[in-house]
Amino acid sequence: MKKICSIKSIILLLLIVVAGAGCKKYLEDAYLDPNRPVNPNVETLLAPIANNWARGVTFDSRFIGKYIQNFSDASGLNNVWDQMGWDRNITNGTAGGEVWRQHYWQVGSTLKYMIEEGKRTEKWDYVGVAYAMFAYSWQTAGDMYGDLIVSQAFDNTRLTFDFESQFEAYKLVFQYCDSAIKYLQTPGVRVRSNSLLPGDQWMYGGNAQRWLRFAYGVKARNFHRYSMKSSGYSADSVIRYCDSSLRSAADDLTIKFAGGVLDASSFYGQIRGNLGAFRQSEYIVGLMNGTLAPFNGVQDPRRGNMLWPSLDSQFRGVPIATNEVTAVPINQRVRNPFGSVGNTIPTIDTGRYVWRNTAELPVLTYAEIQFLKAEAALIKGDRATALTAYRNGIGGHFDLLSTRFPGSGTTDANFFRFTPAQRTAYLANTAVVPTDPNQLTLAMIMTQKYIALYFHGFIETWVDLRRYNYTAPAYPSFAAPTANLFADNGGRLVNRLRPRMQVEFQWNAAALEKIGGLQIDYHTKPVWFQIP
Amino acid sequence: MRKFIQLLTVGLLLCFGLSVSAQQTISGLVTDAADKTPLPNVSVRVKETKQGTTTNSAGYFTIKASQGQTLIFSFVGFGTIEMKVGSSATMNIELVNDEKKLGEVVVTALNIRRNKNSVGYSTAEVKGSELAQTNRENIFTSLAGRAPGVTVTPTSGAVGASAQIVLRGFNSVGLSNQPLIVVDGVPFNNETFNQGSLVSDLPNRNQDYTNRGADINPEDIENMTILKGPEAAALYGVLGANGAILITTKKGKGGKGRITYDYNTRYDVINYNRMPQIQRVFDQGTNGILDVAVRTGFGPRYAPGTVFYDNVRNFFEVGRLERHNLSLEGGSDKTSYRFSGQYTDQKGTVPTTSFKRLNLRLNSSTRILDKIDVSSSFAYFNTVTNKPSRGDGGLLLNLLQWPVDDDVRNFQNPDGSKRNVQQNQFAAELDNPLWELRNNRLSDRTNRFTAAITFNSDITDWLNVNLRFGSDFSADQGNIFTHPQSFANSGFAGFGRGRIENYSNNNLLLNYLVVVSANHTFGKLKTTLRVGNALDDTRRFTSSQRGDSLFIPDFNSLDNTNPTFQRLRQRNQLRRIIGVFSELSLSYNDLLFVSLAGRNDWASPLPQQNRSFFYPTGSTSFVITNIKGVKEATKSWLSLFRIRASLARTNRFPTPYQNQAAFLSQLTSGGGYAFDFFAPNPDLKPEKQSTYETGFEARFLNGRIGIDFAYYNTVVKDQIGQLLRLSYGSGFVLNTQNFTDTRNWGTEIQLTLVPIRTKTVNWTATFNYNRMRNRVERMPANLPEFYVSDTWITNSRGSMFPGNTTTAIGGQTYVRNNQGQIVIDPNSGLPLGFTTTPYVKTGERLPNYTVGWNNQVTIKNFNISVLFDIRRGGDIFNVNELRLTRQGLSMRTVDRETPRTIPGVLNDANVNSANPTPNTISVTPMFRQAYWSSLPEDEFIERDINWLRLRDVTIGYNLPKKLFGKVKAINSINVYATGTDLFLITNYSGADPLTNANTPATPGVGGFGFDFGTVPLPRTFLFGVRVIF
Repeated sequence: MKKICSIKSIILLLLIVVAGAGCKKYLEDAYLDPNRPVNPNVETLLAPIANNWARGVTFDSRFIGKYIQNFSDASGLNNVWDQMGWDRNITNGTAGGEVWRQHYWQVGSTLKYMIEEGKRTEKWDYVGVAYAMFAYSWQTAGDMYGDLIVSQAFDNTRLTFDFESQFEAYKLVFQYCDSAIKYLQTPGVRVRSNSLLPGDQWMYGGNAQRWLRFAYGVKARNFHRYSMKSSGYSADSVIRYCDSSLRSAADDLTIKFAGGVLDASSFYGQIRGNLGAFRQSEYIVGLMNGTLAPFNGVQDPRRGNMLWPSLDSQFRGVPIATNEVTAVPINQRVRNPFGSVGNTIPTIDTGRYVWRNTAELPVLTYAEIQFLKAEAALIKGDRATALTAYRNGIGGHFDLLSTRFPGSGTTDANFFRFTPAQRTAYLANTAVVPTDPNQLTLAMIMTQKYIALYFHGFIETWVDLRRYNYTAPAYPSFAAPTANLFADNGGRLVNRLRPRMQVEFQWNAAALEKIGGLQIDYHTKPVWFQIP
Repeated sequence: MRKFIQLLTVGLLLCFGLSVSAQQTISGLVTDAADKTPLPNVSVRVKETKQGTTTNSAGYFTIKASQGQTLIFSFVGFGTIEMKVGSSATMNIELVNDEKKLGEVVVTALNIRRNKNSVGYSTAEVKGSELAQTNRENIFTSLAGRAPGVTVTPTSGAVGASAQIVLRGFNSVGLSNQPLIVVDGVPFNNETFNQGSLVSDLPNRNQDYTNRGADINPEDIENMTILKGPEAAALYGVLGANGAILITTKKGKGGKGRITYDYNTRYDVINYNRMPQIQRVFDQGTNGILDVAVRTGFGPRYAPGTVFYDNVRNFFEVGRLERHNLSLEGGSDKTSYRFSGQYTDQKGTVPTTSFKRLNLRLNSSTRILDKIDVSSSFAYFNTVTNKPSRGDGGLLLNLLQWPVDDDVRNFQNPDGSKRNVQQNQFAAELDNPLWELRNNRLSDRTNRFTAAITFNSDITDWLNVNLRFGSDFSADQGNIFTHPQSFANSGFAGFGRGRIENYSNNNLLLNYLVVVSANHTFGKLKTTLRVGNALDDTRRFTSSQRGDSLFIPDFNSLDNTNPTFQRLRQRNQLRRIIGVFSELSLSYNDLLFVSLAGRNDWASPLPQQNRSFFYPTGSTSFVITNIKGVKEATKSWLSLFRIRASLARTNRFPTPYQNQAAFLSQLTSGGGYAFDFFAPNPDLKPEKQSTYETGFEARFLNGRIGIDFAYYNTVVKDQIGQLLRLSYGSGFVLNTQNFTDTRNWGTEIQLTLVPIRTKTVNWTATFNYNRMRNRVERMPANLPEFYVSDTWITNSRGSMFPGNTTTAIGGQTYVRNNQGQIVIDPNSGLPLGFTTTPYVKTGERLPNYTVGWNNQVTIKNFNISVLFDIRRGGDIFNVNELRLTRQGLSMRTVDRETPRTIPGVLNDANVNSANPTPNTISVTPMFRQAYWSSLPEDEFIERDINWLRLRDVTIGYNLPKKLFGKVKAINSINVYATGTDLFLITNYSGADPLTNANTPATPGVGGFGFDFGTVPLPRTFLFGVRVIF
């Protein structure tokens, strides 16, 4: 009897073990989400990251672009953003907060995963690209918002997240650039260079070498942020990183769009229709018409590619924070980016420059790198190097326009573009490119950089304007709003955007309060790189 | 071991069909002496051999016994009878219900029948016939007011409306509070389609989908038992966390059988007097100036002689319902059979809307191998609904905003195209509701099949095995068609393009349950031990397809859409639960009852380490009137007094996959994946719910007065916040975390009075009192508010605030100074605006209490049933009125020519000082329409809403037999008339405060108390006749 019992109990025990294991599998089989992947391969991630990256900056450029006077809003007098203000109304709580959302969520979390998954599957080129993009994303977020959530970021077991100085983020940028450089130089990456292609169709087309140069470019940007600091700035380092960076306009990183439907089109295109009320500013038109310093009297041949003439073929801009003057004759009114008089968004793709559904969106250009180098060399006192870089910068921008924005596809009769002869003449004009290195001024470099980054390099331009306090000697003709400055500003110019209002102000208010984020003039508080 | 051998022997006997010689087969019918109805599950034992059986569901039994032996018939709640076996092979027994001794039987969790006095928690029972006689399409809407602790909120009075069912208040703030529905022991799908599964990911408020529980044919219901709390439903484990409603269907009755045919017809009428009134004084325009290009009624006075149209009255129609019921039943000693069919054909009060339903059910049971009772049921459901739109942009709001000097019936141009009233003003134009109904289509259809089989066997007189398998499959198909000329989707589809969105949603529930119970009596102590195992496998397959830009304007096929804009979405779900449980019930001398139970569940939606959870429960009942001395002393006036107490723990798990960080396919260039909104939470724990309940039950004066009192208290810890918003620093937009604790408590009283009880007249009145309270006990410091985004309507939402209630309304209110005075903008004389962030509590939706007053009267051949419903307190947000006021259409905006000064203080340097500047700026709203839009939303929250409503009244009359006595085939004829929602007395200004802006698919508290663009319940008048052959 005892024996039987023991056999029985062994069988019973076995049954329980088998049943237990079966149950475990039965339940585990039902646990994982069958609808959405939790472990996609890295090739599937890069195109959406590029698009969301673009979405963040372009979305917020509608506000930053007014601060830096790329354009103004024709829909009303004293638009908050035209006045360098910040809208406290919660119903506008996403304005200026899209980069915040992208950096932490769709781009940031996905990049974080891409690095981990890339390492796991030993796709070092993707790991390198992810680090480079993550570095760029941290750089952008720090440049825009100042204080950020850094060391506590991406920890979703937390309920509250403390803010730290953007310097902490800048240190991460440096670190991530180094990681990017390391992984993009891993032996084997070059051998299997085609492996990047499936994921990278919308940026560099799978060229790991260009990504490496891009990573150096981000590093150069990052290092140059120290230019106003009393210590830590090294012009030599900036120059060195610039030299390792993009080599010509062919290396320019742009994001491409398939078009056709809303989600796959540029934010600036007619399908998205976001810019109906926007008008080119008096400032950019003045710079290119030769009516504003430092290029008085020189008509820029690039304006036909980049700006809209009125119907009478004259280039005009709208003064910041004013109503559109509807009293002037139709043919003298400033057209919107889609070529319409008034705010109409046409039903077909009639834009030019970046305002087209499939227009490429520049992220980092050879021109920008050369202007960075020129400024660094000027600060260092190496004027010959500065002048060469300056000339290369302008040339690089001409190349960008002629290769990426030749203006085809428009039926507008008033459209024109620069000819090779105009280009040569412009570069030979000593009022623009002096032959004597001693006649090169900071204003020339910064203004040419402003033109070269018009309507895509919003963040970099804003950094530059803030580094030089929106004024001479760098920007001799930039007129910041003074009389009509936004009331909350307390007389100060804007220096940062606030973190996304509908989120951080509602669900992380205590942390914001610690850094003064709840004060109504928080957006005027100088950011780290402005403080010596 | 001895018992094991016994069991083995019995098993062998069963298997080989061996029998002892000299025995004869005795069969017979056991009925209730009182009403002659068959009694199933009556224990029949041979005293000498201890062999036993039970009666089948038709009351029949068969047993082998020798002449001279004694059969013992026993059944809980009835007196035991012993009968000597004679020469006859049949033996019909009547058992007497010994109410004084035992009390009635009640069906409890897992369909275990118990002596009502032994139950340590309050149970409510409602007879199926009482629910069916109201003839509402949704059986759960009929349940409201009939039992304490049951709150049912229909979403609207439109066809196919769903009903939100809540037992004892809202326990979960972020997960479903809908109870488990069980039909004959098998879970019955009661899901309401969630619009979040659509490509368009809609918020469950712009159209309705019937809660699938309403598919059941009311005429099939014998009885409904409501297990209100987890104490009662604990044996269901995690599925019973929100309580359970057990439905027992009718079984075939033995004898010669019968056929019942029933026909009724109903007329549904909107109560126009309660509908919002539109002002007829001021024309379209802005700030006093005529502008027919806008819908706002802020223009000048209408010219004298303007013709007005009663568009609301002209719009609605008289609804019509016809229903046929047929049932066939019969049975013999071993088998019973019942087939039933119902066909409902309804035309709504909203033109073009309709609802059709076919129900078929076959219930049968038989005894096989002498020992095993097998009951099986098959049911088929077919439903087709053509429904109206609701909420924002829905037809009711479009109707109310139609210009009153224009005839809404004039919706078409002579050439058949759509007639717009605001030419070329597409942004302001709203669809004519009659045009919309004819050209935009909202429909869904469901085919559903359920099957269940139960094996029940008394292996010996002390051991019973019950085994159940159930399956429930439903296939829903839905179509949303937006005509290219419609403005409804102009925001995203683009005017002139149109949109089609289809979905198919299939649900499959598979269940298995086995319960082995053994009982033994030790002297005066009776014990029952149950051990069981259950498995629940629920799958949902949802796929949705959408296309924009139609080639042919009115061809309703996805193939007719532009391929560039075709999208699809798949949302499949699989949920598995395994449970084991055990229960020990002790009963001492019918005096003291104790029950202890435990269940352990393993549920797939949770991560492996948190997947297993155990729930203990305990309950006790003490029948004081069964104490010897007490019994004698109180005999004359007290028939029953017992006290009871119970406590239980249960858990609740998240929506499957909600804790996983998954990637969402992107529509951007090149496609690919990016993270979805939801942060991962690999450590998510289940919500932990613990409850206690105490109460008593007393019956006086021979049952003429009865009172049942219950107090309950439920604490839910670590509530799961799905869609919880946090800083984006988390790397995600929405989080799933265990974030809050809440408490929910209340009192329920059921008072039963029998004012008249004579031979010919019987009147029973029941009062069901229900008071619920709740509180947020803990919330993270950084979280000033939690809300479920489906309830975000205009700028208010169903919110909870720390230390406050879970049923609050959160919103915006006036900016006030430190003395609480309204701050006025010195430039305009109007309030400064509304406070923006954070939201504040602006209302409380929970009523103080509700009372259902149910009367059942029989006078000779007449049966009368009347149900009143009383509510006291609680706020309703009248969003319709808000919309009409801001549009200048509400009656309250008629007084607009008188200048007035808004009481408040100016927003100047002194605003927060001791002497703020009083506002003296006069405003004439006629020329400053912002006066109306400067009213914050809390001005439209109507406070302390009470109601008295006649839910339903039914009068039935059994025709005297002599009228049809010559027709032998006819057994009886009953004629009846029913009215529902005939009157409503309330201090609420809108159509009906009984409304819900969301469907029950919205989790948490949902949208009850938000009156927003829904068609109110109509008054219905029904006439019918029932013939039994």
